[in-house]
Amino acid sequence: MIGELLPLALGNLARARGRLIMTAGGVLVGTAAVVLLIALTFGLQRSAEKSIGENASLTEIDVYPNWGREMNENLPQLTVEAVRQFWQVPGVEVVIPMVNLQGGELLAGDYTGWGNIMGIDPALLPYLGLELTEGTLSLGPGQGLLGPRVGDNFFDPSSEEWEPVQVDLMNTPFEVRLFQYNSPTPSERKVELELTGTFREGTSFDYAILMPVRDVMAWNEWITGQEADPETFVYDRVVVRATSRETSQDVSEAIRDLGYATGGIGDYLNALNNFFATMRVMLGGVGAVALLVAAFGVANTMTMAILERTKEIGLMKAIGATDRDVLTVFLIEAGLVGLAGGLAGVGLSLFLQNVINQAVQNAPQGDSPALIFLPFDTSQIGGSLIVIPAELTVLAVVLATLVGVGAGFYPALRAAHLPPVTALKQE
Amino acid sequence: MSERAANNSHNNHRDMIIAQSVSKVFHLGDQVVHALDGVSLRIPPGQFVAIMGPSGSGKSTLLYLLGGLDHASGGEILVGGARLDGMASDGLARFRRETVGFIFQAFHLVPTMTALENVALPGVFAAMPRDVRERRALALLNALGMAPRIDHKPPQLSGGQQQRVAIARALFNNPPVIMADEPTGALDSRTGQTVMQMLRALCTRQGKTVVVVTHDLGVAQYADRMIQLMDGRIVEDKLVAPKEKTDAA
Repeated sequence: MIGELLPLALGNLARARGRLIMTAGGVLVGTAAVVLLIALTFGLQRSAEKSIGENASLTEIDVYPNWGREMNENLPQLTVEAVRQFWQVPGVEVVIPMVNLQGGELLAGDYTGWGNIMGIDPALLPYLGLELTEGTLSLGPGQGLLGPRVGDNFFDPSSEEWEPVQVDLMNTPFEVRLFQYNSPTPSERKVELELTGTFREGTSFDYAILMPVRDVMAWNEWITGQEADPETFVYDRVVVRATSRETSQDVSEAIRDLGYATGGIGDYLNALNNFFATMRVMLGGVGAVALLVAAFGVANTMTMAILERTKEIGLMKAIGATDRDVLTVFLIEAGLVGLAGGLAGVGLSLFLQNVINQAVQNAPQGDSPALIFLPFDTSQIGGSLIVIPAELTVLAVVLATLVGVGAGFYPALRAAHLPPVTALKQE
Repeated sequence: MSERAANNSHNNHRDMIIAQSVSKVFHLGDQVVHALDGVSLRIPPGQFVAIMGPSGSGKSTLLYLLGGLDHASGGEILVGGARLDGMASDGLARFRRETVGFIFQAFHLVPTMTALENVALPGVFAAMPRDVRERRALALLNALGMAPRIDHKPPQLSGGQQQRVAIARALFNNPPVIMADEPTGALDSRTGQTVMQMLRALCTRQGKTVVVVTHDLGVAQYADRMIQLMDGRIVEDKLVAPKEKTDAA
């Protein structure tokens, strides 16, 4: 039926081209406003994410015991069983439990320093999203991977001044000194550590040295003088990685529901995403106001068209058109006005996207007054302040069409319910 | 005289149009206007009826009620066996599509459509495929001598040509009843006669029931029966020997 009525509606639209173009122009402006404002939030969000960290760490969720909630002996701890539970959470790609060295000192040549030595299952290394600046990403017994900032924290023990010294650890003999505190006869032990690589700055492991978990646990047993008991053993840190950005929020929630606290870049990012989602709704709302104005334009145009063509409506009914046919014809017309405006609006948005991004890219860094308000480093924008996802363009066109149909509904309904005689006699 | 018409209709097994005590009341502000005041009539199939009367007599109102374009205020109307009073709008639309073809004084062609498209328009609402309806429209225009003008739009056609297109459109769904409201009102007398001859032929050759509203006695002479309305009532109803009835037959 619509297929038969479509040419009729198209013919009607062709009659008043000027009015059609102006009405569709209103929808164009409204659609472009919605698309560009929403695209701006996508651009800002992407830039903000870029300035936070590398892509790999965005799905990372840190899990802690929920200390803040209440003092409770039954507070869920990061036990072996807990790790097993985390693996069961839907959307989890990998669970990386880690063990800290209970105490020790780093020795590099004549200097000493501190660093967090963390034990990890070497098989899980690739999931940490670490990129190396030198060496290879592998951990064997007695080997370690170096955080890029560990070398900053050394000093000369013989010096009077407590002056930090920068040490090139990769090229300096490296040892760890372990202390046995609890023993009645305090003793210490030096262990050699072979560093296989340094990873890139910008992760949560900048000040850490990663080692095989077996080594760290063995050292901890020596330090404490106790064997690790699988029943009571507690990990110091658990990183859960979600399969994607989209699932990371659900994973966070599921883990919180298990009674743990979550944090980390992924979780911070979720908060950021929520912020941008709110911003998107607000700016989209501003754009929607323009679209609402356009809707009144469509309603007005349709009312005019129906007044002009009242006799024709009477005629259509006289030759057998149902109320529904008349309604359909006018709704198609209104929808087509919306569709035309929507397509043009998306076209304009895509054009402006190029223009604006070009302008941002060419803007002098730092002293561009237009960009000062941005809540992050503008150098991160990298030429895409406006980001229009394909879904947004489709959604905008659909929305514009629906706005047209919606705005045309009341006039069309009135046309459909006109008594044929009244319509035919209209002067 | 009205006896004769009534008797005549009872000779046929079933009347095409039956109106029983039909009234129509308009409210104009505080005023109540009785456009039709208890009109009863029966029209057998294949009869050519002219409804006459001065303006304001209610003749057009009666036609629109019989054609299902308006609702009666009271009384019963049956056309082609369908009860029109109280029928919902979808039912009326279907009735108009299947049972009646309308012809108007002002033609009421869609100005942006060609003659062919105008004739085929009822097929759009009957959900008829495009090629089928265009073939049918072409045949109808051809039969009315309009074949050379099928691609012309109404503004490019003379009044008589436009009315022929309108007649072709009225015939599109092959309805048993043709209703015409002052079909010659906008035409010169010679063209008007041609149009009336066409309507006469539809009645005589195809057995269509034709109801024409007119105030022109010359037009009414093509009819088998003349009904005079005055102030919403039938004042005269008589059978006549139609002019050129024999010619057309």
